[in-house]
Amino acid sequence: MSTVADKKEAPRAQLGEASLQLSLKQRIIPFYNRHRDGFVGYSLLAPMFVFFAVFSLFPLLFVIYLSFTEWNGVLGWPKWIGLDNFHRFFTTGDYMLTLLHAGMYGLLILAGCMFIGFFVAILLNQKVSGVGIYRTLWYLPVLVSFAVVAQIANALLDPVTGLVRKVMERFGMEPIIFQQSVFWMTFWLIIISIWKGIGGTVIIYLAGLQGIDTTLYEAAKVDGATRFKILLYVTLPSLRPITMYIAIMGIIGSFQIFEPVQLLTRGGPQGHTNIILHRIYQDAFQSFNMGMASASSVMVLIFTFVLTMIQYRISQRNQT
Amino acid sequence: MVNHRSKLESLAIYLLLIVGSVVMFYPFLFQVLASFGSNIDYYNTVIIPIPTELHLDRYLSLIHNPLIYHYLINTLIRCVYYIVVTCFVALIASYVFTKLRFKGRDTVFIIFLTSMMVPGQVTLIPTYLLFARFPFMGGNDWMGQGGHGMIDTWGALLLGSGIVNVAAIFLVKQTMESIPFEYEEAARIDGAGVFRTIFGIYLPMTRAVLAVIVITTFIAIWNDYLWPLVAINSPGIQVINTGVTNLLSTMMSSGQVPMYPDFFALTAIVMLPPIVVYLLLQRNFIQGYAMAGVKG
Repeated sequence: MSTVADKKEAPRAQLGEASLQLSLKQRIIPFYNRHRDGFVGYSLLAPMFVFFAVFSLFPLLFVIYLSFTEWNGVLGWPKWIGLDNFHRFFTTGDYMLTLLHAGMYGLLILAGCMFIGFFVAILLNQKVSGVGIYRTLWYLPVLVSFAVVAQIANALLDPVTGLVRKVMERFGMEPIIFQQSVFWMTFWLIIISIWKGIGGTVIIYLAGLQGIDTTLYEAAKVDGATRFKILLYVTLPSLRPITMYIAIMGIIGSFQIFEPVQLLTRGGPQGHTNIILHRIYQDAFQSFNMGMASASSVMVLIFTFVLTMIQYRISQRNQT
Repeated sequence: MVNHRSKLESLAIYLLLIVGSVVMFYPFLFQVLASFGSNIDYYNTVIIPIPTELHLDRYLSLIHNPLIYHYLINTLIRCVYYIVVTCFVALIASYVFTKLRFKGRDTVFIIFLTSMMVPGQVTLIPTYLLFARFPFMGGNDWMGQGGHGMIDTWGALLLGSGIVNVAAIFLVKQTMESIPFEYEEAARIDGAGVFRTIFGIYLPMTRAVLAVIVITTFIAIWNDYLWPLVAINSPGIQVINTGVTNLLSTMMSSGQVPMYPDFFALTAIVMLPPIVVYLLLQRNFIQGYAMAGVKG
């Protein structure tokens, strides 16, 4: 009897052990399977997030902290001075002027790029032969570093041997030494930046033009609209979101203008063409005043944030 | 609307396009022609410095200049590195954000996306300080004091401009979203691993948009100016754009009459590679932008 019971008991015991092991596996594997995407996702993102935290998130918090301190960035630690940097930013006048310059240059460059870029995009959207060549030529300045452009500009505007001077002399005009005139340096700064920026606007507008529903054009033609009217009532409204996008990006970008000023005018004559980012650079790496430079950076950040919020609002409104 | 166009209109369109293109192209033509001609040619011309005799010695001396050679190699390494890393990160991140479903995914993406709003120039100062005071690097102690940190090292060149390029991630994600989920299911049933799925299935399907990233990354890194200006001092690891600009500004401030044709040969070397890369990948560029849905 007992042997029979043993025989019956034994497999059950084995089974019980196995079922215990299985249940452990059963618990882990389904858990993994259920959350497989999460495991894979987070382990793929983790290294990125570490880099992101160290090289993007940390600097962002650090710049806010630094803006309340005084530090040369080399020795010792930042010294807390409260709002002094911001007080200086608003009262010295110099900083507000560089901010104003940034806005002014940014707006003028933006207006030029948008106006010319729009018409060039319209022209390139027509059936013309050799469109690729024109498009490439218009895009060329975008591809080239500003250092190169500034070098060509320096040569053309040279007070002694410059081509602009030679042309003016040939037409019997009094040569101007551009480098000593605030107006002329501002003028060239803006013209050169427009010249360099048009290509980018053209590409975006072209993409927009090609995305317009052709049935709209056909409907307008059936209704007997002239080409000018089609442009005014079909093309322009269709491109409104894109125009908005270019405008806001351009305004945000105007606080990031650095190379034109650094390479063409160095903020001169007498700091009258200085611009916020160049001012930050001077504060940090020429006067070693990291606190002040950070305070200006924070101001730029605030402006950018507000503008981005405005753009977000507008794009939301356009969608509804 | 283009079928019935009068001759006059066609003429006007072509005239505007040609005049505009000349304006866009003229400075480059001027520069390249001047760099091939003699100095006398350059100073005697008014509109276009057509060379009367061919001068290649400027370029030959540049090729044999070890400094320029260093700059070019450094910049090329940096460009290739950033292109590979940006594409790699963008592919993996967009795969995670589009094909995997897990808790907190969209929150993480939004955190990434918000950082796009912060312009790199705003964090220039803290990033510089982070690199300069990085613990245990370049003679720094654990508090980040005493040495030069990662400034003036390859670390600054290879980590300074964001590795996690959110704009690139966004572009690839946009394209990957349009790929049906069936591909993912098929890959899983066939037992393909995550990396095999990404690089075997999605990489070929997002080629066009990756070409856009290759072009934009190459141009951005090749023309990068501010960060190398701030972070690199020694000529041995300087990059071409900043290096040449520094050379030019020392030449300009030396007080002698500037020899513009010599300068032009220098800047022509900086200018050429982005143009060549653009021309090679141009077809993909427009196609890729259209695919990513940059539309009206």
